[in-house]
Amino acid sequence: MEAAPNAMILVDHDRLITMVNKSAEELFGYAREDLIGKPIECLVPNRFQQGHSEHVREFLSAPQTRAMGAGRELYGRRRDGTEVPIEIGLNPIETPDGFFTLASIIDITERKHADERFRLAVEAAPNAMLMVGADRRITLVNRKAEDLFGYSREDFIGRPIEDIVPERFRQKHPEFVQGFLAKPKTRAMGAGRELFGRRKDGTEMPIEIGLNPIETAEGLVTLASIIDISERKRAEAAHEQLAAIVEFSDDAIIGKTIDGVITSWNFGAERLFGYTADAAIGRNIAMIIPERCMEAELSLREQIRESHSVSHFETVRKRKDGTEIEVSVTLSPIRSTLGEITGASSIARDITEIKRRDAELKRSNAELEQFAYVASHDLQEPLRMVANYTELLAQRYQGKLDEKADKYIHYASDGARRMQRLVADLLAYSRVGSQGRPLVKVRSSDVLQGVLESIDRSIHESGASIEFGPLPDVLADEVQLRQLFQNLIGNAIKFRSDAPPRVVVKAIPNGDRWLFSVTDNGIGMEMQYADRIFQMFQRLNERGKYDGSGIGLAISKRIVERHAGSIWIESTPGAGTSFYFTLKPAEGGGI
Amino acid sequence: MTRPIRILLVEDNQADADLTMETLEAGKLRLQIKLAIDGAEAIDYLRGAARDSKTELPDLILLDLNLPKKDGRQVLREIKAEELLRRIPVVILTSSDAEQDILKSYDLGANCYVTKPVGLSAFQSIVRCVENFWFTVVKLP
Repeated sequence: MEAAPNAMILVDHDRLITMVNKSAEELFGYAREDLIGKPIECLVPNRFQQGHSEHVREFLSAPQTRAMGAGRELYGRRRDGTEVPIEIGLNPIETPDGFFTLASIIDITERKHADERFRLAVEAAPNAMLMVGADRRITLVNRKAEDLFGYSREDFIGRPIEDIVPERFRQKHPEFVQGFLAKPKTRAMGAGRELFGRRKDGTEMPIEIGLNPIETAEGLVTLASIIDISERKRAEAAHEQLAAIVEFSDDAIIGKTIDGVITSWNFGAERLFGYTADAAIGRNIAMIIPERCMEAELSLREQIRESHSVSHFETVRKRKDGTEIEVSVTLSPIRSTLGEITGASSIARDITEIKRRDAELKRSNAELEQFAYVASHDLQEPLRMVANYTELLAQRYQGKLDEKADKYIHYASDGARRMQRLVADLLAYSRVGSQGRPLVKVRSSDVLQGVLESIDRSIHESGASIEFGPLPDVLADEVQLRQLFQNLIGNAIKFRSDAPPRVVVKAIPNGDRWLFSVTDNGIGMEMQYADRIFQMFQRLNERGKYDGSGIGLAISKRIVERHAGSIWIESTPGAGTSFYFTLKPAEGGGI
Repeated sequence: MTRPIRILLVEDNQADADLTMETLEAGKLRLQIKLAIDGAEAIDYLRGAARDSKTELPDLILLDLNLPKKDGRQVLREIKAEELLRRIPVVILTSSDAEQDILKSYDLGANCYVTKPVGLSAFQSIVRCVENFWFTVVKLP
C-alpha cells in the first residue's frame, strides 16, 4: 500500500484517519503523523463538509466498493488550504478490529486541465461541433452549433442527435451511427450523399459533416464537425447556370492560354468551327486561323498581354472542313488568382450572313440610287425637248389657231414644266448620296453666312431678320450643309405668317453631337404631319399657295442622315416652327 | 459684202440642233451653219477643211459633250492638239452642269462652257448671248 501510485487513506468507523501512504502525504501536504487520528473532514473543503458526514453515513449503511460522489465533482483540501480536484474510489474493509473504509484518491488536476483545453478548442473551432455519445445523445456543443441549429446550449445537451436530422432521413440515421461506431475512424459523413441539417424552426440547410471517434473514460463518443454549405451550394448553382449559358450560347466561346492553347470550347464553338470540344481542347487556336490572318492574331495577343480587351474585331476563321467564315471576335484577358494574365477568352460570332446582307443592302441601295440618278438625269433630256417645243409652239402659234389649241398647248407646256421640276428634284435628292463629298471640318457659321448672302434678295423682299450666335465647327460636306441651311431658312421664310419673318439659328452641345435649331415665327403646322413633311413630294399646303415640289425637307433629311445625324420638327400652328438637327463635331473641335 | 460667219454645230440631237439653228438664224447676223451629228463627223469635217483650201474652217465651234461615236471631250482634245484647228474658239453647249465636266472641258482648252438652261426662252436668250458675244464683242482670230 505504501508503494501504491495513488494516495491511500484508511478511515475507521468514526471517520478518523488511521493510516495514510506516501502519495497521500504528498497530495495533501501533511506529514503522516499530522493526519493519523484526525477526522477525515480535515481533507474536505469547507463548502462540502456539511454534506460529507451525510454521504459517509449513506455509504456505511450499504457498504460496497464504488466510486465516490457519482456525478459530482470532488475536491480535496490541502494543508495550505488550496483545493485539488480528485477522484475517489471507496472500498469497505471488515477486520477483527471493526469496519474500515479504504479510500483510493487520484489527483485529476491534469485531466481537468486537459478537459478544459478540449472544451476551449471545441468552442473556438470555426465549425459547428457536436459531441454525441454511444446513446446518440448530444453531450457537448459549441457556439457555432448553437448559431447554426438555433438551439441554445442548454436546449441542445441531452437531445438525441436525430432532432437535427431532417425527418425524411431520421429513420435510417441510427443505422448509420451504428455502422460508424462499428468501424470508428475519422472520416467525412455520408460520402457521396447530400446531407442536410434541420434547424430548431424546422428549416433545412445543406451541410458537410466530419466525424471523429474519441475514446473517453465514458466510452466511445463521436465528435462531429459541421459546416453550413448553403453559400457554396448557391455559388455552385450560380456557376453551373453561368456555365450552361456559356455552353449553349450561339456564339463560340473559347478559352485559351496566352500562347493560344485551347483550354475550353463551348457548344457554340463546336457548331461554328466543326471541331468537338475533345478534339479542340489542348490544340493551338492556330488550327482555326487562316495563314494570312495569323499576323493580326499575334498582334491581338500582344494587346491581351498588355491587358487590353479587343471588341468586335472582324476577321476570318477556318472551319474544320476548310471553308472560311467571317467572324466578329471579342477578346478579354483571363487572370490567375494572383492577377497575372494567363490567357484570353474569345467570343466569336459568325457574321458571314450579316456581312452578306450588309453587302447586298449596300449594293441594292447603290443600285437604287444609281437608278434614280440615271432615270432623272436621262429623263431631263427628252423632257427638255417636250418643254422647249411646246413653248416654241406657243411662241409661234399663240392666237393663230383656235382657242382650244391655245389651251391644249398651255396644258402641255405647263405639265412639261412641272415634270421638269420633279425630275430636277429627284436628281438633286439622289445626288445627296451619290455625289456627296467626304466629311471634313467645316465652319458652320461661315456656311450660314454664305447662305444668307445668296438668299439676300428673298430676305429683303420678305423683310426677314435672321439671327444667329456663335456656331461650331462640324464634320460635314460643305455643299450639303449649305443646302441644308438654305432649305430650312428658305422654308422658314416661305411659310411666314403676316408678321415679318424672324428666324433664329442656334447650336448647343447635346451628348457627342451638336444640336442645331432653326426657329421661326411662321404659320407653324399640326404635329401629326411631323413625319410626312420629310417624305419626298409631300406637301401640306395646296399647290399654288406655296411654291415648291416638296423635295426640300426630304433632301434635308437625307443630308442629315448622310452625316449620321437626325432631324425633327417641333411646331405649333400659328406660333411657329423649330427644326432641329444634329451633327458630329469636327475632330479636335470639342463639344 | 462681208462673208457670212461660219459656225460648226456639233449636236447629236436633231431637235436640239434645230432649235439652236433656228434661234441663231433668227438673229441679225449672216451665218453659215454646218451641223455634225457625231464627234467623228465633226473631226472628219474639220480635218478635211484644214487640208482642202476650197472648204473654209469655221469661225466658232458649238460642241455638245455627250456624243455618239466620238465623245465631245475627245473631239475637244483633238481640236486643241492640231495646230490648224486649235485657234478656233470652242463653246461647250451641253445639258450637263456637273463640275467634273466643267473643269475637264476647261482643262482641255474649251473657250467657254455654257449649260443649256431649262425653258425655251432662257435657252433662246443664252444662244443669242453666245452669238452676240462671240461675233460682236470678241475679236476672233
